[in-house]
Amino acid sequence: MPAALRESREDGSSEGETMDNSTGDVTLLCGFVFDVLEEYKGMKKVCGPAFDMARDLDPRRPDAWCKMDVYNGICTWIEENIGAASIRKAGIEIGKRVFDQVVKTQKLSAAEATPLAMMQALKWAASTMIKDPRGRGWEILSSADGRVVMRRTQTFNCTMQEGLLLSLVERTQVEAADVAHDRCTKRGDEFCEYTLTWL
Amino acid sequence: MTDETDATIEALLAALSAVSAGNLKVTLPAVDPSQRNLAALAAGIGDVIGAWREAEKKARRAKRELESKLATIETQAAAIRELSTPVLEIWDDILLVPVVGVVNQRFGRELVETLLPAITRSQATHVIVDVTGVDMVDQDTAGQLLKLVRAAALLGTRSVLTGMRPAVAEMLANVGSDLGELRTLGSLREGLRHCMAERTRRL
Repeated sequence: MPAALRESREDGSSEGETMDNSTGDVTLLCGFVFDVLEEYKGMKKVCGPAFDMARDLDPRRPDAWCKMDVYNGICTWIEENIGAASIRKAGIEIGKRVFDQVVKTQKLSAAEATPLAMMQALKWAASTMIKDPRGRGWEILSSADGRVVMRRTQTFNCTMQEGLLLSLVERTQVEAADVAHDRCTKRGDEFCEYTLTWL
Repeated sequence: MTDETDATIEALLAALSAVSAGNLKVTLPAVDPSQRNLAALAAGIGDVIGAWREAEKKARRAKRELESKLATIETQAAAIRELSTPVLEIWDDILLVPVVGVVNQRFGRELVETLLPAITRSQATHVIVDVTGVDMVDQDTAGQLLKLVRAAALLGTRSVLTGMRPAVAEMLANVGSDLGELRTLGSLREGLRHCMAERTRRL
């Protein structure tokens, strides 16, 4: 097999683990919650239960910390009541903001912002913007020319992450980016895994 | 066969292997033009990969457009649901829920979620659920309507279903649920008259 296609587990994580779905002691920046709700601000009535879940959060404090359960509850409600395509699209919009933020904080130049560099930056972002004693977030399972395989180890909504990943890759100016949600915990897999490709 | 030919064929096979694994960005090896047959083969392979890549780009664009349209449809459906579940206080202690479009499980749940707080707020004694604008119901609808009636009853409110079209009645009957708890009347006007009469009696 050509070296370019040879896969290797790039971040040292080992096989055979199972997804840890506990959220009790996990917190994240409130900005994530406000970012999701921002996408539905024109539908406050129909999305009332989702907005209600965030009623105790101060919109002026995106840098405050809130429980992961709040964020997950909002995303799940939207996916179940508005639709999967909608929460995926929200992920795409949020990805644009995450890209700008990551490029700024990681000081990536446009040329450096390759899909793989973005995925590494996403790993970093998840590890700094989410407080999780178990250190869950993202793993880069493999990468090759035109392809990166990502594993979600944090509990955030997997459909929204599909849009977010796609958005991050697209913003690196590669052509015809696509994301395949190959493995999914909702279908009984141990983890959600996404294959990002571009042409 | 020369070593150079062997190496070129091996490189072409490796490229094809990469393509079969989904890598359409693969670069083919340069072939000496003096090796006419091999050069023609490499050019042909290059053309096929190029055509495949273009087709894949087109398919991905179409996929993106479809996904975007699906998201728009979901958002619009939610907006329509928002508009189609108004709860109107049409008389003292009487609420009206005009239902329009298709009634399904999700709609039924939202109706319950919208109506019960409205009943509590208004202390309504009667609710009229008018389905004149409903063309179709699914199998869960009877259950949802009964749930609505029972939940309202727990809050001390009587429910009346009005404006049922023959096709909707037939569909509900086919579901096989016991709809005996549903008070049904032909029109919204009859429903309002009935509720006002009951209300007067209670007063």
